[in-house]
Amino acid sequence: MTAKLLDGRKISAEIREELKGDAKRLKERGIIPGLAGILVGEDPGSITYVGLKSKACEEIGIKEMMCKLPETVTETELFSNIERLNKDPQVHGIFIQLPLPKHLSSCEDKALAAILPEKDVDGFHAVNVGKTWSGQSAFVPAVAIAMHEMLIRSGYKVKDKEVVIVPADNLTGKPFASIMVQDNDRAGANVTLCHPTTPNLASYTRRADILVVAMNKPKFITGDMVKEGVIVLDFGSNFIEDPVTKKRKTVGDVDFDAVKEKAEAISPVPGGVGPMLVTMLMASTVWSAKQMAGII
Amino acid sequence: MPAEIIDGRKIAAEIQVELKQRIQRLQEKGVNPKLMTILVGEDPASLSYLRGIARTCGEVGVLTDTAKLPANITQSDLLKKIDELNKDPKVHGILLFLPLPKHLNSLEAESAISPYKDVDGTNPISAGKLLLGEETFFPSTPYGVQELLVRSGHSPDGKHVVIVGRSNIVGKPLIGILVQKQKGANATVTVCHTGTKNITAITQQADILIAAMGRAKAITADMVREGTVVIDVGVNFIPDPVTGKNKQVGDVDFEAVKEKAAAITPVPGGTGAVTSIMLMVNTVRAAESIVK
Repeated sequence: MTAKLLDGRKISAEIREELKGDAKRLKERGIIPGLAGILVGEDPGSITYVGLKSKACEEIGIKEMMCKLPETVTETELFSNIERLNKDPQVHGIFIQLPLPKHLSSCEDKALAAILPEKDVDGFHAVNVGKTWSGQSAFVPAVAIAMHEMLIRSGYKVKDKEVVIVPADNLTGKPFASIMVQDNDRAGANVTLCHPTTPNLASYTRRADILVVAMNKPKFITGDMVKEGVIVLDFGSNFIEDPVTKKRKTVGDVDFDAVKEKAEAISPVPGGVGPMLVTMLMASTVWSAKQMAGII
Repeated sequence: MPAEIIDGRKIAAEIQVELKQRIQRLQEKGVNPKLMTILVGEDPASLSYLRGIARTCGEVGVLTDTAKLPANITQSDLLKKIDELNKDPKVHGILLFLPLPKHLNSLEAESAISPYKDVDGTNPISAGKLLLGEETFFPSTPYGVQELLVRSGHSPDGKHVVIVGRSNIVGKPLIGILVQKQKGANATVTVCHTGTKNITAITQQADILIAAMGRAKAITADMVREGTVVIDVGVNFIPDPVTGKNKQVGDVDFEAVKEKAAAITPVPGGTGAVTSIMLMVNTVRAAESIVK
């Protein structure tokens, strides 16, 4: 048996179509969702990511309001820009493209906390984390909602399943746990949060009906660490040299060839969760616009 | 062989001795730790809780006073009171009794408490910070569970902790506390609930089993592996079969489970005995952070 590959690009495209419809309906009511990204400096990686987000905004019908600040911007200027965007009624979502330049890296956490929780589309703010855990509607980091949508839209049931997650980090592991643990139709799982240092980790991963891994270590999960029929959500991203072709390629955390023979489904790397991230940020922005308009 | 009984009262007493020393050091610097409680209306459960807190404060040496507000107070006046206490340099901890009367906006009131004085982790930001692993006050009940484990020599480091119950007051904060990469935590945590199908297969995996479901004697001996450490957070009142009077029991079938467990907390005298002292620990810590 070879695992089904969960196609993140296809799911992402589906969701974008739905979002286009949402944005159109909002426009008919005079509301255009606005997403403001703060980009400081000229880091090529950051520029690429912000470019992808801008393109997605255009495709869906979200007003892109990027705030480009020079590399040398002061802490005061950064915070006054965040404040300005907080107050702007046309802005429904604010994100800060990380990392910030070195002279500002010590205030990254403060900057993220300065974003109005109602506009925190990345879902990093403590208020949104607290609300999500307590079962209230709030912004959740994109990786976690991407994985959740991938499962649900692929027709998999989550209720009563054993979901095992490693690591228990703030970007992926804990946010995903916060969704899975809720008592509702799209969740209600029994969740286990592991660490890379968990003794006898394989004894936990082997129990998983759904295994989530975000370790950034190639072949972290080997064939003997999973049970037959597992669904694997792989958010690892490792740039390695293919032993055969000698070419550089991206792989996940899972020993793909071995695990695919046992798993029911795997989100491949690339082509799995990754392609969904920008789309989920757009989804959060549209949701924010609906919230502020009092539609939901 | 019957389990070691983890004595909550004894552990609370130990903590109290340590706190008295810390309070003395603060007093030498001219600081008297003070906990202000806010009571809106006359809810009997809150009054009872308030009496318990006042008693513990007296025993430990933490100053306390209560802002007794009328049940028909406006939201604006409630927020003014909270703001006043936030700004008062002699107040180190603020505890808002819940639930508030229905006409008031609880979330807004809870969010108004200064994070520096939010000694029971009531402000929703505190819950978020806890789950993010950021520095914050741990709510007293789950904090007490951690202390009981560590002080009884059953630290959760590297262990498999299974929590039965996913409430916002105990289960979820406990996840946040125990997954942190710190001493007294660093556990692999599984959370399930009373509706979990095949729950026995999961609870049997536990090195440490924490029962926090609010269901009398729902954890039975067959659900527990030999040598498990069992922490019972349940508080249930059921009629005694002999006397007919209401008595307090936990979520664990104590008599049966103690024969299999390595260690177990009784109810009463277990987690309940430690809860109010943890509020004192947080209040003293709040006072100490001003002195730094």
